[in-house]
Amino acid sequence: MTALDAQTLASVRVSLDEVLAGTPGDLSSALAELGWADVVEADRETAAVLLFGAQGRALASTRLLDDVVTHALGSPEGTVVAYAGILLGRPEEGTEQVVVLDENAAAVLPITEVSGRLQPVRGFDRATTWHRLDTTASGEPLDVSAETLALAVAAARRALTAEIVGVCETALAMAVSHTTVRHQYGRPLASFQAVRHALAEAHAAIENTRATLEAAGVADAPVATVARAARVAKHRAGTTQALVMRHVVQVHGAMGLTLESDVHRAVTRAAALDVLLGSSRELSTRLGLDLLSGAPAEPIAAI
Amino acid sequence: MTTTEADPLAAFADEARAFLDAHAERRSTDAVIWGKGEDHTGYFSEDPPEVEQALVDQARAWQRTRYENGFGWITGPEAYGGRELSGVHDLVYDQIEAEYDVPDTGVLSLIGLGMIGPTILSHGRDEIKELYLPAMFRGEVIACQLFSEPGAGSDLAGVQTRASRTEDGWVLRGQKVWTSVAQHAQIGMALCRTDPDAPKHKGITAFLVDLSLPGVEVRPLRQMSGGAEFNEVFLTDVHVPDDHRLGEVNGGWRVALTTLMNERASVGNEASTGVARVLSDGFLAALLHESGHGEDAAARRRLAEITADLTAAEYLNRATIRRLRSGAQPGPEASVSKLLWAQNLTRIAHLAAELVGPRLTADTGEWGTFSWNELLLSAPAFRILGGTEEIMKNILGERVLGLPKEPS
Repeated sequence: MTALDAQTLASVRVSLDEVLAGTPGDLSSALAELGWADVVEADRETAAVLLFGAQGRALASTRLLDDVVTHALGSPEGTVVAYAGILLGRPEEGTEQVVVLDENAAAVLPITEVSGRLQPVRGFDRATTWHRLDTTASGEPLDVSAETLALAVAAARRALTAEIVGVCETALAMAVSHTTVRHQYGRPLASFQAVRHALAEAHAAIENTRATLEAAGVADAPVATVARAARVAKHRAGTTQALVMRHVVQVHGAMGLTLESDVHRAVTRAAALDVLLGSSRELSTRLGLDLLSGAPAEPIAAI
Repeated sequence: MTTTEADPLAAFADEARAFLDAHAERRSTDAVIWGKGEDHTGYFSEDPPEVEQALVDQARAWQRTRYENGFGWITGPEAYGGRELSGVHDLVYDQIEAEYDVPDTGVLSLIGLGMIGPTILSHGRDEIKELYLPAMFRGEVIACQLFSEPGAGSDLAGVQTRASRTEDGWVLRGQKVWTSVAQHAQIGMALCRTDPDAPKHKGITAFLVDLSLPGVEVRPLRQMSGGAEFNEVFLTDVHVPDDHRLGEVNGGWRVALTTLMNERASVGNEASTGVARVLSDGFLAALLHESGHGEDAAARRRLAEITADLTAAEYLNRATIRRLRSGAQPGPEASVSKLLWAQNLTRIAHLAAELVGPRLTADTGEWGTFSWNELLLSAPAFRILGGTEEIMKNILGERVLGLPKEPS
């Protein structure tokens, strides 16, 4: 499935977890030190799944997703991306333009028209660096083909799916550790079937979404198929995070409701990521319409 | 998948196509058309016995044809009629065969070839392998699992059927239940208590039982969904020679685990004809249109969610099959597939029940309405067979997530 062998993948995963758990300011130099460009060169899709999985597990907030989009669109250096009005961070010095990306359209704005129109997003996920671009900013249509645009959106959705899977892994690990350590009635919480069954369900949902993501990353398929597979993956990621977080919060008891526990970080991050480039609800609406209008729903051949 | 390593496979694929072209018709591509074909959605056969017998005969004949042409046991050892090719070859063959209209061989393959075969290969004596494996893969011998008992279901290690030593072997006494395909089978793999004083997992021995022996009685159990796919099997002083023992005396639990792991791996990805159709996007979309819910946004979203989950489950199965066929042992992750498979079929049954409304319970003769009752009434079985949902979740919790054990 990939040009990278299992041992390399495992060691890259460990290194990435370290890098993304570190200070966000050093991210690009830390990735360069890791030889990240070579990994990307060897297998771009696997690299993205690894990178965004690590970002999700670390609950890190970066602008790495912009690289996925600008590469797919062929945008010049100095381009940042607004996802239907959301920028993943304040554009740094040297940024020249902003691409506003939607499912069906992309526009471009010079940075000079953007600077005064950015507000930090004060959503319930307080740990993001996200900014909102006010809605009066429209810009010129970006000169790319419909196929290129569809592939860019699909690549970004796969990256977001990988990130949500990573967030879910972290949340489940918190729940496993909490329910193993905490005792009630003289035994660990996780020895009660109601608790272990909830966590088993969460695990099953995560693994299923991971398999979907892997299959959606197959490159040599028609554009419509790639786009649909990415919609399915992002949709599944959304429903999976909802299920995982519901169980994870529940088994933490009242502790999961407070800022004393780290669980809220995973809950809010996963919910925020679900909204980017189509929530599970929006995507299921689209998938349903496509199905009933007879659009081919063939899964990508992945054997 | 890279194509560079596919060259040795290409010759095999050509050989498979030539074989299938010579022995079968290509499947018509418009198999899923609303209002056409048999009106069934069920998992369990509801055919009258003579029809069912004819289907079993067809299955046996097709398996024999496969075997005689070198496709009966692609991964098996040559000594027992196999080809000793890789799991990938097996997978390639299955994919190609799916393009052809051939008899469903599930009655042979799901339990016998899929679970008991690997168990005999791992734990049987050479003469037993010679006696049964070629015959099984030739389609002559159908095997069933004599595992569950009235008093030992999920707690399988509690089996009470006794096997006692005789001069030349063993005598078996007890009752088995929920035994699928026993009515067609020639042999059964029985788990029996051989040491009642040992801890329960350590006093069990596994045997192959020739079901034509005196003292074996198979009685069908009728289900609420119709049909009688599984059975009670009574063993009354059945004499079994010692060479039919699988594994060590009192080592039967280890043997059973080989079977169970292969069971979970296969339950999650099997598809009987009725079920295969209801799992198809096109058929479910047609159900929405035909039941007058084409413009119902809520129904449309539920359909989308279910089909997305079906796609996801299919990807997971393929990933699991890929691992299994490249030589990995089936592990607890197969429980994930089993769980999702049951959940997805249950959700389809409930969606269909809502969409067809009262026509689900009264047969109006309208195609594609009343027949959904088969799926709805089969659905509870999916969450039980091959290991209950609760047991699957226990396995995942303990063996995959590493949660502390329950107090016993």
